[in-house]
Amino acid sequence: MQIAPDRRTTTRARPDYAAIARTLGPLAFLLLLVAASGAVAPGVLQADSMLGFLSDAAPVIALVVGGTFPILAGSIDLSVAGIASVTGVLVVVLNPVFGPWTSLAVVLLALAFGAVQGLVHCWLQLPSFIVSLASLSILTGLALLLSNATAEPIPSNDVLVGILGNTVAGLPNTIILLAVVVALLWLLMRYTGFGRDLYALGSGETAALMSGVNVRATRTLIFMLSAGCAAMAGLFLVSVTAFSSPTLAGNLLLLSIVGVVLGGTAISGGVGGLFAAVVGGLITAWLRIVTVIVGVAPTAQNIIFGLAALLAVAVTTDRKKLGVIK
Amino acid sequence: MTTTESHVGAVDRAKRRSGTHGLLQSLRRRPTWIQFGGPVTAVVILSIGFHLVSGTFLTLGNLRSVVEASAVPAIVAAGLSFVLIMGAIDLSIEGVMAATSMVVALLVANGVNGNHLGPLGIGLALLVAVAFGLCNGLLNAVLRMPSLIVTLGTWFIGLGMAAVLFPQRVPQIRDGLLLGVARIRILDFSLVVYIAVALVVAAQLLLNHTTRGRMIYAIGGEEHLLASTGIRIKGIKIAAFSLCGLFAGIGSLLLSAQLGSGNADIGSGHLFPAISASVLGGTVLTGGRGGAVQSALGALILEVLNNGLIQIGAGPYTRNIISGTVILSAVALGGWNRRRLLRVVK
Repeated sequence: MQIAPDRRTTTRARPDYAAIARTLGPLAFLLLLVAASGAVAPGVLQADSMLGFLSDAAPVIALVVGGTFPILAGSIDLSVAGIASVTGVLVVVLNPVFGPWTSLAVVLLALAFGAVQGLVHCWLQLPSFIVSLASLSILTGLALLLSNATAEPIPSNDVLVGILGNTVAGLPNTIILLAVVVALLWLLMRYTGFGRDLYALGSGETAALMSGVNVRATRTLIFMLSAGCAAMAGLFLVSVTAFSSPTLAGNLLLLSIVGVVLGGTAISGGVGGLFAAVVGGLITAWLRIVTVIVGVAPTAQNIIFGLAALLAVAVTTDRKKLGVIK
Repeated sequence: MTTTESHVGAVDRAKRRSGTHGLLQSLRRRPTWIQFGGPVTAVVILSIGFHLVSGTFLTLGNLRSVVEASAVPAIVAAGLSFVLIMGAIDLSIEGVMAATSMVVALLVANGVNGNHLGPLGIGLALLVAVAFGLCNGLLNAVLRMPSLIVTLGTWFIGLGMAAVLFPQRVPQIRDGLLLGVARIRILDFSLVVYIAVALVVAAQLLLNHTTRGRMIYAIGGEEHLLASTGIRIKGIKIAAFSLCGLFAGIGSLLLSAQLGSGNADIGSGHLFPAISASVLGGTVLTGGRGGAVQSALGALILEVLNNGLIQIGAGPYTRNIISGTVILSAVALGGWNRRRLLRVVK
């Protein structure tokens, strides 16, 4: 995991215990969670159920990975669940136009939508939460309008959804694709200027701005990546359900944010990364299983995740950096 | 919310305020009556426009239904303005409404259990709504967590609570007092409309004519200045969030009364319109500007838009799309003159 240059690391020679705790804490929590549920219900640790868990977790992890980029820059993208829902609907609606390549076209559309969102956010200088909240509203309406509020089967000729539904050597293709995408994103963040710029924006945007970081381009790319990951999550979802529904990802809005903060990425920006995102996504997905094992009604899950979000944010937010907290 | 403005930005803004400025800038310093005039003009123009297209908009019956339909959104939007004027946000409205509706339906005389608490039940349900707001305020002001993420959490906690409370079948409300609110009509308007008007006016008076109300504007204007003068603002922030919860709770009670049952889905579709109504009425999301009456007028504009668009043939699903577009364009227009080269907006 990458840690953004931090005041503490430069002024003190001692190891940065806070950073270490932030990296290893969530991982330890995940292992503890898995071990504990394994002790209660040994079945969950078998290979089959693990694979089932992973393909079940793939959409959540994809959303969390995507949502990490804006949060690292100190922004937030509330529209991801909306994009995932619309993706499912568009795969059906646009099929007559694009044929077998519809889902690829839809992902490109999502990237374009994200880019527009990022541009609107930084060019008009509107807070990202309000831009993405407005697009969530627009996307929710669009999903209902385009699908006429009905669930429809995914056309069988769609190449990408077809591939995602299959397995290679026992591994679901969704997991393989997810791993590839995460690896590519990691390379992007580790070896390109974009990665540095992203952390620079999150750590101190005024300083980044004055040192010549192209804020507009960086923010546009951030929201593109977030929307792209959300579209991927939507494809993962429809590849499992084989049906598109306008409210497919309705309850994933909270989970996508919860996952980011549970992984140790601070909502105040600049701290966290892809490793934290994957761990956070896994924790969130596993928590869903734990709630079932413990016997919490599915309806009560929202309470658990709401509380988890509050707790994680209370612990990880860097209040000094935010200054006045609104 | 994490909109941080650098010191440079603040100085920059101060300079601009005293200097010459464009049309938008002068509009921002308009006197109160013009603030109300804008939204009212919008309502009139929209109504005439829709009437010209559909020919049925400006009938007494239709106008009455527009007013009836905008009553609860106006209450919710007025409540939300307390929080928006501080520059914070409350996303938990829908969750609060859901929880309040289920609680009231299970505490007053109903078709599921033997409770028959009457007014006490209504009071308890409102307490739940206030408790949600209080919780938001405490987490935001005392634990110093961004209101955006706090209220995102409590939004889903509220939804979860409502889902857990939901009994095997729909809890029909049989309480005469609560049902009466929706049934009693005075001068052809239901009591709900009068309650809405009273609440909106009360909120406006509270905001503009009490010290604490003015403090809410001050918090939205320059919170760090306020804090460094030693004024205690935590209590005011907590009170603002609690009021927002209370207004959402009252809105939910009125909707439950109209529906005649408790509904875990009652708040759905109230968050976006409430935010866009406030923004339409001139409540700037960065805080310090706006008011309860303006927000309520914004809710009226939205209802005119919805009603009119349905009359001229747009489907029922366009509602969300309109809300979203309205939020974006209103915020973009309102904030256009604040754009600065070195401004940091998260």
